[in-house]
Amino acid sequence: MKIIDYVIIGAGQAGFFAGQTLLKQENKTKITIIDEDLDSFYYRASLKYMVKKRVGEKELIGTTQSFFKNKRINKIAQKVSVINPSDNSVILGDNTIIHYKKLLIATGGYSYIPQIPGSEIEGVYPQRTLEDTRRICEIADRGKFKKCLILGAGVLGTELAESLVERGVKVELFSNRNTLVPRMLDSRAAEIVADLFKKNGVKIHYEASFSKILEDENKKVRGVETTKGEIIDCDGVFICTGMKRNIELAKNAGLNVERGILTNNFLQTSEPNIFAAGDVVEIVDDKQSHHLIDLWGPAGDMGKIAAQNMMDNSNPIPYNIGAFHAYTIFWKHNCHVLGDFAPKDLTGVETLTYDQKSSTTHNYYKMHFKDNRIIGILSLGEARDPIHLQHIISEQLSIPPNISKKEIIERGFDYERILYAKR
Amino acid sequence: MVEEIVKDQKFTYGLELQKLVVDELSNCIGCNECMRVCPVSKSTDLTIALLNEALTNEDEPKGIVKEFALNCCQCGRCVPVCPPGVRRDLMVLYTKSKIKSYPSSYSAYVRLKQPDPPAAARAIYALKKKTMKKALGRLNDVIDTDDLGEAELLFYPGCYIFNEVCHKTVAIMEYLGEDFEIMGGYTKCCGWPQYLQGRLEMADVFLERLWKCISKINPKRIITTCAECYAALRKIKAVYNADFIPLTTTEYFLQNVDRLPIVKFTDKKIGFHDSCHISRKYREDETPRKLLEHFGGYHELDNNKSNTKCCFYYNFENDPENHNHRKERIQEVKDVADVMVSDCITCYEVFKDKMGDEGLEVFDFNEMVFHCIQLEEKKKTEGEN
Ligand SMILES: Cc1cc2nc3c(=O)[nH]c(=O)nc-3n(C[C@H](O)[C@H](O)[C@H](O)COP(=O)(O)OP(=O)(O)OC[C@H]3O[C@@H](n4cnc5c(N)ncnc54)[C@H](O)[C@@H]3O)c2cc1C
Ligand code: SF4
Ligand code: SF4
Repeated sequence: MKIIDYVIIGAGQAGFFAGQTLLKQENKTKITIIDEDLDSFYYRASLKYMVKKRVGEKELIGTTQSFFKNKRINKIAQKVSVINPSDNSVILGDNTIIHYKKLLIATGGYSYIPQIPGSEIEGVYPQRTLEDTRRICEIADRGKFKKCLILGAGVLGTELAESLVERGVKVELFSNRNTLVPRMLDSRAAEIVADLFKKNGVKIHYEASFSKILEDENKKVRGVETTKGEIIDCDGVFICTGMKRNIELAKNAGLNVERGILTNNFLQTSEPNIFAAGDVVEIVDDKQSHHLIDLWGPAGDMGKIAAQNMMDNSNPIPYNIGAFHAYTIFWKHNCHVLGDFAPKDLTGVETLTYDQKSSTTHNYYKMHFKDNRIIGILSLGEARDPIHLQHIISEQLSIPPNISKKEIIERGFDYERILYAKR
Repeated sequence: MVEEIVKDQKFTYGLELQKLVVDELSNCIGCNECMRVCPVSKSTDLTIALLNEALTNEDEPKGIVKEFALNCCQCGRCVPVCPPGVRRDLMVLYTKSKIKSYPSSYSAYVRLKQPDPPAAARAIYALKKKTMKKALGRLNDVIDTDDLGEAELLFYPGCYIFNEVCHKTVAIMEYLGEDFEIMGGYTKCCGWPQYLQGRLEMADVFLERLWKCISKINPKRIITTCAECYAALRKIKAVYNADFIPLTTTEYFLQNVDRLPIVKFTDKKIGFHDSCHISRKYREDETPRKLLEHFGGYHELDNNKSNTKCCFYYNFENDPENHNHRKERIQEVKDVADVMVSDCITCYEVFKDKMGDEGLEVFDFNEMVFHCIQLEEKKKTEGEN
């Protein structure tokens, strides 16, 4: 019986970084990466740039020729249907059995599609994969109404809306709330962003959804009926209402799961030789708090750490959750939220805002301070050095006495001054 | 992560890049926006996967990645467009720093400007000092000396001390009746150009050396004509938590604008060229505009402020397209104005000297202010007569 040293399920960001880290180990260990998506590994978080026609599929491929050509790596395009911890094996869709010494589950998530009559009709798609994106582009280019509707006004929905406009179709955006991107924006920022969408011809329907998706004689989407009773013609309906984690495999294998696969700080699951990384993980830290992090950068970092701990478990490295950082760009306005950017408990919190509009950019910054530290920021417009800010917030660095808070929020402040002040 | 460079450890550019680039690599979403706006050749022939892979291995970069890194002029255009805010400029700089054999143009630049220049280079330098003695005047006494006393105000021309523009800065400061010390010469180099070449260890030596000199003088404000020196001063301020305020001459002039004459610089139309360092990287795009307004107004170029176009100095002519890019920029000026004004001495030199054949008049802010002072004085003497 052949046993593979490291088996990775999922060649997404987490699986790829894990593979890359394992490969750097100077030895003869064998690695198998299994992914049912024939296109993997690609830059999932950049699929919108394909809709914008700014990149082609070729540029989205995240691996170089040399990566999968490496003889130590074997990539299999199959679905894993079973994990069998009792004999350290996985069973693939074609019934092949692969035995592993260590297993990494990096199965990510899938788009959640709400139950709406007609959601199975051709032309109703989420955007999670490259294949989804191809279909979205096809509809945008070939549709007769030259109009698409998007359900969900979070980051993915707004990004897809802007991308489709750039591709040349009309877009209407449906938000079930009375605001946009509530996970990131406060009311002022949402107002600025809504204005940008309006200026660019996107109609936003607030507190609205679809009661029914309508099909034409070819069984393709022809329009929707909204919850407000309006009928709107369109070529495609794209669903951006969130994601769910691919935990079934782990659950059926008897691993501990809740919303994600439960792991400790070292990304180890309830089975000691099975690790998990990326969107699929629910980390339970030393204080028994649960963390779900579905972001690109952290998925890569988790892949790296999990791989290191798979190679050498004698001195495991904890995954450092760090300060939350989410971002997007709305019509050339970079938007970043970092740390506690919308603190619920305002005791001891001092908040400064900066709100200035020029002919090209609206800069809106809101920064929260507590105990002489920056605890969070929302920035819209020109970016405010997010990489440095993330470290400052994660490491809870104090503001040195020779720097005023007012200075910190001004354009052009050097965040390095806080970063290095501790030396 | 960055903790290591934050705590106790001595600052080095190498460690900083290592921490801020390699550890941040996972944040790159591969959107290719950075390469779409990157102005240098080869940026279109690359994939992000290739660039990123080069960052993960320790070997010397090869082939197209190496060529691209040498083409990179460190303009920073790639940064504002990056959705996660990744520092692609520093990533490429890190790649540059792993190059072992630099092309001759890179090496020629640092021949004199290295911590311990070879004897032959020093001889050339001595000769330069001798032949320029007359032009340097008061500056002769300060070139390369460590014998500088404490001063509240320090003018730091660095290795641009031989440049006439800096002589004008001195004249303006004297006009303003300032009491100041001057620090300059090749041994007082800020090390930023070496940093931009990827010669990080060399840059470390210069940075520390410069900090030592500054600490001795203990100034409250340091004024510089050079965008690179300015960058190094800001770095020193951050790294050593120093109290001095670094100022570009432009900022300094604006602070003293009430004491400068109200004179129209020229009847010709001025096109203002933003520099990558000052306008894009440090977002100090308002200051030069206010000063230009004071001296009679200006015209905006198509690509301005943080979207400005580079002068392409810092790829040391490794990109064969440099000349064409500069021509395009000159055309942009010609489309709206008659002369170019720049607040960066490097941009100024490039457009004036390297592109002299294009028939565009180019001025530096120091020249502009100096000229206005002369106009005022001429008016005064004419009035008196
Ligand atoms: C359109 C879009 C835009 C986004 N933009 C951003 C952004 O700008 N910034 C950001 O931080 N995050 C963004 N995200 C989120 C980000 O992409 C994810 O956090 C990241 O991709 C997670 O990586 P992962 O490796 O954990 O999972 P995934 O990327 O989902 O990869 C999991 C892989 O596992 C495979 N797989 C699953 N189950 C099986 C099985 N049983 N057998 C075989 N293979 C299997 C899947 O095919 C998939 O390839 C975006 C997501 C989407 C969909
Ligand atoms: S700094 Fe300028 S030249 Fe270098 S990669 Fe970025 S955009 Fe290109
Ligand atoms: S713009 Fe930023 S995220 Fe996009 S490829 Fe360049 S570095 Fe990566």
